[in-house]
Amino acid sequence: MTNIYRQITLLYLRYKTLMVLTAFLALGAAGSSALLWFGYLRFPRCVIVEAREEAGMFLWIFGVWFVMLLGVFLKRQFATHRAHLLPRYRAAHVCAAFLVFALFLSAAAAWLLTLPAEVVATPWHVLWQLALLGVLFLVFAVYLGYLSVELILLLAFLGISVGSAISWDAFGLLRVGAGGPPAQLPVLASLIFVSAALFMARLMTLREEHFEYPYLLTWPPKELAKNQARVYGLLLRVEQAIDLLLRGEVFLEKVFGKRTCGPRYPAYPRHRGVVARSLHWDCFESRSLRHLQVLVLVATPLYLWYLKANPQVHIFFTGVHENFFLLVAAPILTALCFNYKKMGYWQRDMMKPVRRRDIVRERGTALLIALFSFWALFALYFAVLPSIVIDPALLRSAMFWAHLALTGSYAFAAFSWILFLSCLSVTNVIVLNFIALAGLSLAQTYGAGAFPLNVLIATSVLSLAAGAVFCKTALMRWYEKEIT
Amino acid sequence: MNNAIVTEGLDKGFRDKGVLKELSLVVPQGSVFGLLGRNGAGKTTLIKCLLGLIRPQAGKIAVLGDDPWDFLEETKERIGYVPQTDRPYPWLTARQLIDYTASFYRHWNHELTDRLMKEWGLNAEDKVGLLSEGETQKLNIILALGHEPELLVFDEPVASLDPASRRQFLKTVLEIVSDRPCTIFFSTHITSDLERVADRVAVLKDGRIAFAGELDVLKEEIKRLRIRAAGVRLEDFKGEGILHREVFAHEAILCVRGYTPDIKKAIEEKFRAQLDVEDLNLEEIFLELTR
Repeated sequence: MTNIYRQITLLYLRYKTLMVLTAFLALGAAGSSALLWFGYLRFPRCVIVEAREEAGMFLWIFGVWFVMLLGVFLKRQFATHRAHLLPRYRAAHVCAAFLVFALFLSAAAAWLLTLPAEVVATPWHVLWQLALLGVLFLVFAVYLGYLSVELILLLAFLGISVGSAISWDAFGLLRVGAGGPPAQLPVLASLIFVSAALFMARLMTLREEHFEYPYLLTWPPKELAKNQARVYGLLLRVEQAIDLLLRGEVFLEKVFGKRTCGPRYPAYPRHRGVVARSLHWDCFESRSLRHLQVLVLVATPLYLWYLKANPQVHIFFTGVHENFFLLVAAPILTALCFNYKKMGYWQRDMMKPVRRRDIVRERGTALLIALFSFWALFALYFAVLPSIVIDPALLRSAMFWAHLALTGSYAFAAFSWILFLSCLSVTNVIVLNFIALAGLSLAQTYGAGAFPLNVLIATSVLSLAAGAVFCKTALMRWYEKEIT
Repeated sequence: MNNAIVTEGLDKGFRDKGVLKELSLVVPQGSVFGLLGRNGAGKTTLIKCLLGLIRPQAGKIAVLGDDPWDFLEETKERIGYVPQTDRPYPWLTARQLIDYTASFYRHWNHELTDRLMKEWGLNAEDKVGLLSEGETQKLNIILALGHEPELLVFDEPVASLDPASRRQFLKTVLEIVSDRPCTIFFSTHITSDLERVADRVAVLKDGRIAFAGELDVLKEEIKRLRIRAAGVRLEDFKGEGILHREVFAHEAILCVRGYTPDIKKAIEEKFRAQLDVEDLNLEEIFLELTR
């Protein structure tokens, strides 16, 4: 039996990406700990108070990466016949995964407790928050990582709404539990234990026929495309059913009954511009995005009413235009999830009678359109609309628009950088790039608030230029890869 | 004789489409049992039901006397399975993957796996992710054999193997059966392979078993009759046992099931015909049964 745990441990240790992240987490913790102690001894107290945020942010960023990766790793263990046919497999894998997670939390706890009390005044709050976010992200990676864009966006909105309700300010996701009502900690603790227990129980019995099993399959691309087609099929049926309902026909029968017709792929608009052609490749997704637009139209009045009726959440939107996490990371993650599923059709599209170079250019355009749409949606929903309701004067400020422009251009730069990384094949180089990207984003997050107008504009221009260079290089590499 | 696999009245469908319909099958212990069927006949679904990977809507299954949906750990120790495609843990080497898989079992024959790795030309230090499809399948077969199971289930095991590797695979199957008591259940499209190793076959057609039994009995039972006589018509040949009939100017060709010498005698007398009885190979029998 001991041998099983030894082999599973080796399985984790041999998974290089996880190990590189662990090494960075450990080195980063040790380094930042030393720096914070040095700062504590050398600099005035106000610097130390500022350092609290960095401590939480550091753990948060690496914690989320680590746990997402752990979730992807778990997917591989359970979406396979081995989970059912190898003796003693499930229990050993579930225990090992949660042991790794517990070790991660223990390391975080040890790190937090070694820091001066003034740097992290509430280490247990940070730890609870990490545990909660960790479990939620673990479940997220396993269950929701490959859902359709509508569901991911819905869940993102829901998550941010819940976050805003329990955190009280724009960066409050880092301070969950600190400063809220006293009942928060027990509620968070229960949430962690219940989520973890349910998740473990489900993994112990998960079979091929269960609802979420197909969504665990990340490979081969055929399976991934099949899953997306399944989700799309359901939405198509609902759409058909709504059309029929509007014409007075039976609604439920159409949703749950047999599908009457499939989606139709329109002809390739060969003689039209690059935007029209790029939309052709995304016609299914563009069509399904319509659901989202309808949702925004329906939800926005409710959302504005909610803002008016709940003054305590106003603080969440104070300075939200500077919130890099919300306006940069969230649209990028959404656009990445949105585009990842398209890789399933990539090979098939390459065989169509269109020049490969054109396909690559059109796909690149579609990618950028997707990013801009998502960023615009987040900016509109979380920055512009709340400002109209709460503080219309803000809209007349040049700084507001300069900040928004910077988040947009930085989102473009970051996304293009990620795009460029997709051309690389050495895992460690990719991880190193991601860490550099995370570091730069962190610097922007904390620095942008203090930038004067001209620096904001210059940074925006620089980000746009960097984004263009990354994007062009990435597209050219894709082109070369396909040709050779 | 005990039975390794018993199914009774198995029903399994996906949405509105019935895949297995009241399927009953018995696989005796110690047999090499081949499952034949056209694409979409339900072979993989049947195998997945037998292994408890999916649950049938109706019917009973016993595999080594246990319920597959809820296999005991002891039963899992006695079963080996190779799916159609599987690429486990691409970051491990073949050796590491073997050690990892071996750790779950109380008994593992390292000598056997080492020998097969060598015989099948696999390098233990190669990364699984860098192996070709055929090499990965060879490795999967070795992983299924390492714990010397009593029941081996292969789902299209040789589809991705080259002819030499297929031969090696069949040789290994024969060695396993001759060395120790073991039941082998496998689905395949390559009937010549099945003919070489299987002693029993089942033919799956539209979710039902069209034939299940010993291969020799099947070959004795199904024959092609070449009838040479003037004026024979298609409607002259009717009956339950006729699988296929064709009539030309002076010749009729019948494929019959349940052939006996009496049939030959009766046709010769009725049509004053010259009649040749031809044996069919398994591929021809399969085509006739699934026509």
